[in-house]
Amino acid sequence: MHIKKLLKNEDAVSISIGFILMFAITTIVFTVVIISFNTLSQSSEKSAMIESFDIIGEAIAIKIVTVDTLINIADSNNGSINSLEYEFTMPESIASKTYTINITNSTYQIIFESDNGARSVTPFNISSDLIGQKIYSGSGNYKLIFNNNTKSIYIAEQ
Amino acid sequence: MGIIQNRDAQFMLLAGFIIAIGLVITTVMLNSIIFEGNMAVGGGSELSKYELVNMMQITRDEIRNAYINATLIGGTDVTVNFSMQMNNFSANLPKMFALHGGAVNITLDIGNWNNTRYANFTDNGMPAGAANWTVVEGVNVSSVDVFKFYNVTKASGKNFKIEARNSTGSSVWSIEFNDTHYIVTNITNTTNGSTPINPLPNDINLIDPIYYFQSASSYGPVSIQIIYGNNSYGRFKIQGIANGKVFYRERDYILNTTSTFSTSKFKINMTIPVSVPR
Repeated sequence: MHIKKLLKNEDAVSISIGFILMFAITTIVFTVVIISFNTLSQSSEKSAMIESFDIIGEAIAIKIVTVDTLINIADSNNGSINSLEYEFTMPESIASKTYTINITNSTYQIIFESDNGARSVTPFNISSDLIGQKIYSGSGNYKLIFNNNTKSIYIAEQ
Repeated sequence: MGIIQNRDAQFMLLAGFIIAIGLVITTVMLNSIIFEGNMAVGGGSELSKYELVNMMQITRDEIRNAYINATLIGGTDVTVNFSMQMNNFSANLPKMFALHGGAVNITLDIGNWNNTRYANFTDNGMPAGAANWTVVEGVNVSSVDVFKFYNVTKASGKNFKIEARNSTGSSVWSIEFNDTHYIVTNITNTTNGSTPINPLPNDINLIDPIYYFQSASSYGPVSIQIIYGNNSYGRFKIQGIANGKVFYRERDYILNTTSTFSTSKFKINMTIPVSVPR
């Protein structure tokens, strides 16, 4: 009986306090949702960049290794490669952010870095000489070129 | 009316529950959309290295077959017959590779053949090739029915040697040519023949008993080696049974083939020397 009475009792129901409470709770919930969404968005951007870096890095590594393999195949057949060009395309930005690619010939790694801290390293292994290079996003098209005179692979912008 | 006036809030709870589930679903979908929207990966198929290796292999096989066919027919039109077969091949190869999205062009340089510039006796027939190398292993000496060196020219002041070694790597027979002599040595280190020769005979048939090659037959399977192959050039042909199978080792010339292969993103131009006939 007491509980039923309590439920039917409308003494504490005030339109003003109810509105204030509703407004405050709505504002707090909305703010929390916005902040969470923003954090989620940034986190997704970074994850997406790292994922993209990995995929692009692997694609470049495959191309470099393909060039190296062809050089070795020609060499094992006592032949020579007069010219070899393999084109690859870099997106101008990933998740609306620029980035750098450092292709090293000391550790044989493709290192992607961006301002938001997204970083990815793709290793590769070749026997030919490779001239290391740092590439800044924005240019678009590049070529892996084999120089028959120096017997080395280098990267040129198109 | 009863439902509207009912203040037990079942519908409010239900609505809240539905909104909560909707919020979760929307958040997950937004997350996926944001993730996918940020991905930036270009498509495209990678070049198959095996297509190029295949192209090199079939070109080499075709050159060798064309050379064997042309020389078997003989006559004065040997190179013409060879070129006809190769032209036919060069015309059809691009059609095969066009199906894979590649453009192919093959050119052949038979200048060495036309000018009778024979191959060096190195492993690959080139002057810079390995001078000391194994021609064939596991040879049954008594089965060797052809062991000839033709049109041999040796550099003055340099030696050229052909050797048979047993399974342990010890020499059981050898013949060495210098400017004035050939010297045959067998396992007992006895020099069996040192007939003065000047100049080096153009055609050397090592099956001839005067070279004592068959004396090595009692030492089991041998490997036939060429030593100082960079000091001489010419043609050779060895035929017999090695490891239970018939083998042919034969070289006349080195013909250079230049191949170009290109796709929308890839271009290569390479020159491969092909030893003929096989």
